[in-house]
Amino acid sequence: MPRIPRVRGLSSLQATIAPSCAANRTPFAARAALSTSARVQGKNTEWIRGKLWKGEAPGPADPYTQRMEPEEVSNLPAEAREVQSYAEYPTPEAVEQSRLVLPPRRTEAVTEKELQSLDPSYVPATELSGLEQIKPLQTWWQQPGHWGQESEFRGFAAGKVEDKSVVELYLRRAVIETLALQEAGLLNEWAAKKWPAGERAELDQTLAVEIVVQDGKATLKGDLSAITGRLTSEVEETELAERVSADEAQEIVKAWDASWKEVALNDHYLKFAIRKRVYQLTGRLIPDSKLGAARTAQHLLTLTVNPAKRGKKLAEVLETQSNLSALSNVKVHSRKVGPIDKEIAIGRWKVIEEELSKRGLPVTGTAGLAKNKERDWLSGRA
Amino acid sequence: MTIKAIRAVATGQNGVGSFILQCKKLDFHYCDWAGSSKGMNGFIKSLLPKFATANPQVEFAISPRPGKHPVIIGHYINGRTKPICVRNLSPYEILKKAELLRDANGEQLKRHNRAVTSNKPSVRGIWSPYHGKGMVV
Repeated sequence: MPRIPRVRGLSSLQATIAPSCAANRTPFAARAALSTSARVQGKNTEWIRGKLWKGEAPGPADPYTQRMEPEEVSNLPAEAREVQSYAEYPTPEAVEQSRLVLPPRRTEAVTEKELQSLDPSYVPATELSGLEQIKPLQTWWQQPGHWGQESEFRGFAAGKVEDKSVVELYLRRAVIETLALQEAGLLNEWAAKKWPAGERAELDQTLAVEIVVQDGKATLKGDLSAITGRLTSEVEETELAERVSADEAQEIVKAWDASWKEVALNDHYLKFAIRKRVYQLTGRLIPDSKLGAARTAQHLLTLTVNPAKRGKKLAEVLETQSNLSALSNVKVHSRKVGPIDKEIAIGRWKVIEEELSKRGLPVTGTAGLAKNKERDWLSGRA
Repeated sequence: MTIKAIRAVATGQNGVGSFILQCKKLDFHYCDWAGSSKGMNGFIKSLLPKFATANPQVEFAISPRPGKHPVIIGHYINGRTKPICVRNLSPYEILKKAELLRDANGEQLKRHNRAVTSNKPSVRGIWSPYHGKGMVV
């Protein structure tokens, strides 16, 4: 603070000549000229520095007036400049090859003057409505074109089959296919791989194979090599062909002899492969816990057609039992007894409800209001 | 409503009077899903009907409490409650806990060092014929 009022503190010549105010920033050329003059000034004071240090003096010649080299000036805000340094790294290969439409890299817009030399037809906007609207990055995946149908999850199995005879038809197909692979000795290798769903003609071809069961052992009669060849060929993914209709399936199933269902399935690989194929074709999955106990194709069919139901809740069981509900001193609730239920039981709830509505307060919940802050203020937590 | 004792000196009835069970209500809470409730669910299904029939003066309330361990809560006429967690117990162990709660008086547990607890203990102590001068007959 200056001792004499109305008189400013002594400022250096440099400061008075070149004000560092951002509003009237000096051009680069002018700054360069100033810095050279400062160096010249430094040479004049070299002799006194030499005397003071008795030899070569360390540090810059004039630490107060010498200016730093001007940096590259960017119009971007600080956080954008930080991100730009990341942008120098190359894009990872996985990102480049991705089918997803990724947000573009951040670039600095050219200035108006530079743009005029590039594109003379450019007219700057004078109103807000003239500016291009860009949605924020947060909503990138919600914007059209960035998350298409190709990116949506497609499950291994298509929709669930409801009809019993359709399930039976596809189960027979799965049994024939797996047995054919087993005979060819390819099952262990192909059990865990995805088999092509196949067209309608292929389905008919597979079902044409006869299963002859003798003492639980099955022998297939038909063209097995065609089936195994189709299953083990690397075919591109195709959409699942239209399923057989219920009426048609009923007719086909009726024509078969029921003895094919007695085929013994004791091999784990076999059961796993059949279950997987049935799931792929019908969308019905046999639970692991039930699969272990299944021994024949008939067992698998019952497990597929009648899926496990939810066990009864205790309250439901007690409802059917008369010995507990008949007692006058016992009350069975099917639902959790909450504070409101307790108030209702003693007849106080209607009074509470009335008083709350009289005061315009919410009967249940907090009506979206925040919790009490005063307690936090008093305890010094907030 | 809790029952409170009448503030009057009780008249001695020489053991002739009615007995009032201190437990008025037993709550049985269970969970349908959790394994710790397995014994409790079995108890409610198999043993509770008999137990409830044998104790008609006690009110029984059975209600689920999903995601919580099974518990029996006794309500007493002095206004207090006693909860006992019965997780992973077998039905017969749970029956013992239910009997314990039924027979409890609702007071907090106290250590009793003497056979008789008196409201007005005698200053002179209990008379004994073997002490003092003895009586001349």
